Amino acid sequence: MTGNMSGEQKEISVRAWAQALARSFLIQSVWNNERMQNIGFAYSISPLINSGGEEENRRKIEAHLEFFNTNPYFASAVIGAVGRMEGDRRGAEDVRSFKRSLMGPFGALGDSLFWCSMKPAAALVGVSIAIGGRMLWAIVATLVIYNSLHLWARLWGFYNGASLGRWMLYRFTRIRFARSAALLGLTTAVLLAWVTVWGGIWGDPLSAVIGGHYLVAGAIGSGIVLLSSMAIGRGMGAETLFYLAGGIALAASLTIG
Amino acid sequence: MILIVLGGLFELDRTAVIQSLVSEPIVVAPIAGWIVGEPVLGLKLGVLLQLFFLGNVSIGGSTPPDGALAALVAAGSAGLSGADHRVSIEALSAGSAFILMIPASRLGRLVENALKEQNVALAHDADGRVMKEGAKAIEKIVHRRIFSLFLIWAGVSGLAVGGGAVLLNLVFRFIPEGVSAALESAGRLLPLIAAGVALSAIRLRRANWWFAAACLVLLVVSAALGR
Repeated sequence: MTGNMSGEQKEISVRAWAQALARSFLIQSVWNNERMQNIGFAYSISPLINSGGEEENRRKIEAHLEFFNTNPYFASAVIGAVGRMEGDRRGAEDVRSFKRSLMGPFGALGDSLFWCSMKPAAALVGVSIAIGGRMLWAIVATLVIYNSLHLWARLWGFYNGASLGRWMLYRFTRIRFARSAALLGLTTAVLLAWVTVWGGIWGDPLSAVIGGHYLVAGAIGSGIVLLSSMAIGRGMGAETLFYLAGGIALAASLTIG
Repeated sequence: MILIVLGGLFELDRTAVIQSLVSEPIVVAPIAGWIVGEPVLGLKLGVLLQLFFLGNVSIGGSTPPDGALAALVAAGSAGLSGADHRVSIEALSAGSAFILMIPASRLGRLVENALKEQNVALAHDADGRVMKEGAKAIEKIVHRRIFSLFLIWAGVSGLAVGGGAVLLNLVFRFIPEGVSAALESAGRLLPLIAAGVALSAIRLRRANWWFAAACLVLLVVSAALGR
């Protein structure tokens, strides 16, 4: 990635690239209601801004204090690409419009892939292991599954951004985000069915109450899960449902004894 | 003390640094339970809270309820309350979930929103200092903020766990035996409700149908295997 470049291009050391990558992990650190990730972005990009003149460097860093917000994992790709553009001495307006055009789509794609699809799938793998009583494996599995993919996304994005600059977009267009998210959603639904029917989510004693029939317990369990989901789909708040169903169950238990 | 430090670290991961899923309830609650000597209780609460908070995501500028603080407080307070000598683990975990989970998650959201608002002043500070001090000004702001965030979240975690433990101790001291037995039975329903919340959060067209189909297949396989 060290650009040994001629003409207008500026060499950026491997150390500076590594620093920018490490700092990109802190992009959310001063997240604020006004300009969101702006300080985190300026902090991450600053090692890559070294145009020679101190005054010019400061002006460039100040320019990066404008509004910025995207998915934190894909932010590394934007930081890499903007770093390359700064190294190539692209105009301030070019850099600005590039940042602005990417943060929205990268935010939407990253949030839907990581937060809404990958996180639930990884966490449910942990849940299904935890139900079996294996605490350490539940934690390890959740963290390894999620972080191997999340770290890969950060590194891959940063590497492509740093090597290709604005052209890294073409690499991203090859990823089938919608299909991946749908596949992960399906996996999550199946895992949830598994923990409900076979995982003993409500414990063996209740199965014993229903005459030791796991089958009946599984069928009733799936029904309750479905009804709860449908109630939320109809506009009931999750917290209201939790207290309402719990309260009814408590009252019923007290009445029946 | 370990819980307080961990509270600070978990919250840093959730809000400011890395976002590695270390702050998910399935990780936080078992660790907190293990630290206070109640690993089984931690695991039970971890499952329940993870399912309930599965769809908690911060999209754009939104601040979802804080599942990490909820898990730390529910498992940590239950273990520290000393109520495990009076009631079963099942009743204690259900009681802790009922009483502490949602208030703690809301407290976390409140603190996070206040911190985000506080950060606006830091953004203005950065504007003023960058032309004078250059990149060093931004570095100082970020490093100091991370340290102060750790201290704030550690403090909030400590207060919340301590307060939760006192509250649970009081509740389970005066609760009649019949109620704690009913709590134990009712508590078995809670993971299923939480699973329903999780199902509603899955981003998949016709997720309910896919779930129902998968349940049906698994039930038929169960029947075929004679379970």
